[in-house]
Amino acid sequence: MIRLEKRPQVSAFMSYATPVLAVLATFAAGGVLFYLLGKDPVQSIITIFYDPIFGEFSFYYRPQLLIKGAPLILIAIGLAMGFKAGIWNIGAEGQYIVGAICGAAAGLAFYPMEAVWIFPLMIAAGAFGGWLWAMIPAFLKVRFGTNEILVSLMLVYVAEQLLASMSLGLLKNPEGFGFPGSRNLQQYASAHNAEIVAGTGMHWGVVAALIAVIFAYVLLTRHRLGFAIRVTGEAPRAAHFAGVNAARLTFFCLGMSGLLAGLAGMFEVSGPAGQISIDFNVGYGFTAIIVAFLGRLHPIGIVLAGLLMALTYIGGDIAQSQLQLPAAAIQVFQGMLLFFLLAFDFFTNYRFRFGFRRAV
Amino acid sequence: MRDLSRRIREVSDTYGLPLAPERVVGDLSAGERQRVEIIRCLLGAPQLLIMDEPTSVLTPQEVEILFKTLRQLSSEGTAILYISHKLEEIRALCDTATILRGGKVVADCVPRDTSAKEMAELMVGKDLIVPERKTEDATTVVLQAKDLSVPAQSQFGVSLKELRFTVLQGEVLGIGGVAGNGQDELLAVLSGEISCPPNQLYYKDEDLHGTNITQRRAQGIQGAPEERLGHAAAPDMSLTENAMLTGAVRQGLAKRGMLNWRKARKFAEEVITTFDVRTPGPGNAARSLSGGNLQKFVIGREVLQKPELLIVNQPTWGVDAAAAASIRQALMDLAADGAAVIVISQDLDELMEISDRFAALNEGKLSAPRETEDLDVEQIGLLMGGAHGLPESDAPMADAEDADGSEDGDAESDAPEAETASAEEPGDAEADKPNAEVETSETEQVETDATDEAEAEAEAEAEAEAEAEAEAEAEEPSAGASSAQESAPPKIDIEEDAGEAATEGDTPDTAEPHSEAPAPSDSGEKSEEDAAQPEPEAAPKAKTPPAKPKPSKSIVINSDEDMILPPVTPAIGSGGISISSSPPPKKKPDSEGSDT
Repeated sequence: MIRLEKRPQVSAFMSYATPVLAVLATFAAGGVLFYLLGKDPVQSIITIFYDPIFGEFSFYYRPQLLIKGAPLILIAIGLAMGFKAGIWNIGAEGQYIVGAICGAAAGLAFYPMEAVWIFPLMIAAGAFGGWLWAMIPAFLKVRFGTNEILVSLMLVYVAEQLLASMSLGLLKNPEGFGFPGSRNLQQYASAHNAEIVAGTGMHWGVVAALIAVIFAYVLLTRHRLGFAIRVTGEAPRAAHFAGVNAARLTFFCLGMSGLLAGLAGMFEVSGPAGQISIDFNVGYGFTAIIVAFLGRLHPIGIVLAGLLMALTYIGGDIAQSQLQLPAAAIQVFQGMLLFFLLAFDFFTNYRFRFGFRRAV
Repeated sequence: MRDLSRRIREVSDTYGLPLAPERVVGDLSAGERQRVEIIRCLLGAPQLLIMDEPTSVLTPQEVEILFKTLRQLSSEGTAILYISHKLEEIRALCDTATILRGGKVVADCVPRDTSAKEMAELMVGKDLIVPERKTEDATTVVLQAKDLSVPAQSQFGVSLKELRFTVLQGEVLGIGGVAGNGQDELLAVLSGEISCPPNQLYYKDEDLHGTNITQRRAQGIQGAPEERLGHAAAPDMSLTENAMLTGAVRQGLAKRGMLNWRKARKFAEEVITTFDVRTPGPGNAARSLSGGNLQKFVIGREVLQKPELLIVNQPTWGVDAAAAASIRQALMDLAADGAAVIVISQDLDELMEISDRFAALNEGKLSAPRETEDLDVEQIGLLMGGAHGLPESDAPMADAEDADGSEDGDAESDAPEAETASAEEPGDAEADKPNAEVETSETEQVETDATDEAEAEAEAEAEAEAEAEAEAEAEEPSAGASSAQESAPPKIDIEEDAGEAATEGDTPDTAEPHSEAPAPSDSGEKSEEDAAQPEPEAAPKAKTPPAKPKPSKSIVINSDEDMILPPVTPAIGSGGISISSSPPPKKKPDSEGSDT
């Protein structure tokens, strides 16, 4: 007889092994998936995971790793703080969109003026937009006890409508021949989030992500607030006993994740994307949830997980064009990663026992 | 249904357990709820009644009623297996006792001839140090409550009503009361977990209104809540992190928001060494510690911070006797060093032992504190609300009875009952004896002597140093005191010497016949030995953690609280005893069974 038993202590080994096991299991299940789609599984996985970094055209793909990884890491860092405290912000995608809209709007408001303070202003506006969007579920949760999962998630769809309205209305490019979408910020020097070193993919969003990682690391391990976050996640009553103000913590965690998501959106719209458009958001806010968990809610882990997920995006694109894999297959692949991660995660707290238990 | 409620009335009349069948359980006091469980068992006409820590939620008066019922039952031929760590109760009630330590039988004894201290030492396995009190006359008021009223924080919370007390420097104020009468709320208000209204609570003449728990810690007010895991400590966090939890303020573990983990670790190590916490090190999770060790850590964490006012709730709940003694000693030493200590506890013996003054919480109201030395357990029991739910007219009777039992050693009230009960029982026992193989091999059926009990009872209140929850747990992990608040699976058959588990419902449904006959009497399938016994007052057969329950057909009662636990289906030890249940009227969650 096999049964599950709670471990007396969380297994340190399993908590490190879990992400690795999850990736391996995803390879295996993904291989089966690709095989059933009629593709060579080994070739597919090499295309997705190897070619972008070491393949023939890696010089083109490597910068992409940073460009795609930075927003994921930025958002995931913010989410992880909330998740650690048991505050589930699922609506980072919405905060990302609103941050982008606010950031772009702040820049475009001064078009075509050129000044050094425009870009910092856009950063602030983007952060504020994301923060504000996250304050809605935070306020509703604290004041009325609503579920932040539902509210933040539904606000994503509100944000998407807002995005569509903006690209068709207020922010529409007056010289855009009627096409939806704003002016291209890449052509507006003061507002352009350009690469710091050309050809590396290193833009200001990457810098912000690195700062966020260091900030989160220090906060969570050394600062009182980080400790409050962890205790709240582990044992809310003990946190209350320790003097943690749950309402304030809710505001902080949701605000922080909204702020970082807003920043990510702003860096994206002013750099790689260039403009506000109806299809501006590509799901970074949701993928970041996977990144946060894959990284075990740990800042360093999130960096690695963010790069890995960026890789699947890039590799997925290559596989799509070279192997004609459907885009959905890549998404399934990403989803499997989270699935296996959560499944293996179970074993950090539980273990199998074989044979009958002793009668008691 | 009508039939059932009629039978409930009959049974409750027969045993002097007032209970109206139409009342909603939620409105009953803990003592009354326990009556529900007992009556539910009695409806099934048990031959063996197993009780696990039944008195933890009862006032002394209610305990006396319970004991009276148990004695009556045993005189009617029901075997009673009584699991408790309250040694004086065992001395008062039981004929033989088996003492368990760490899941092993360490001794058998006749509790009446054994002192509580001896039994405690058997349980603990070493000499027990009884905390000694150093009294000094104190005059400085540390905390003063002036009509402190706090509304209930949740639907099932208790609101505190006009609490009025002072705590002096260097004294231990004991606050007794039956569980759920506002203890948790009181601790939360005093420690600052919930805020208090203005002008009602003063600490050294300063209004505590508007100060939160962190500020109060800075002022020297520390608390230790009842629930160790999840409230006083975060289960999955290390002891170092748990030391940080409440130690950050006073120990200077945080500077401008940055935490000093090295210092926290040192502090945790200090707690561990000073209070003899058994753990590999401060890096271990709180969850991995045993209850007693974690409690020592929690109390030690607060005591070492040299609070000027320490409030603890149930400091020795579920803690083994040795740990309990050291915790009490620490609390008294703290008071001797000039701190004010408030001990909230349901363990009256503990309060009698360590507190200088005593007050009782009852339904959110606090009695006026009185010198502990001037009080006896009877008075305390009345302060705690007497016997909950008894009509006024009954209450005095209960008291009188109680007084008889415990003070005068005059047990008239018990004796007649025992006789009448036992008088009817032989016939009944013969009459329906569906279980042929019923056997009680327990030969030490000591005659129940009411006076004996009375004496024991008297002593009971007097001392009672030790407890051994551990024992109870070890004994029956499944129904274990800790986990298991269950009530009565209706019927459990225990078959002796039947190696295999579970004889299902081998008894003809005894419930039916009872509609006409009072449950107790015809239930008494006595063993041959029993029946043969000449003495009309046949003996209750009650043991502490029993090594081998013998008789057949039992009921498990556990009244610590009011949840239903599945009947135990385990073979206890190798004695070849199996317990099974016949199909229960009440559905029991299978899941529970599977993880015991």
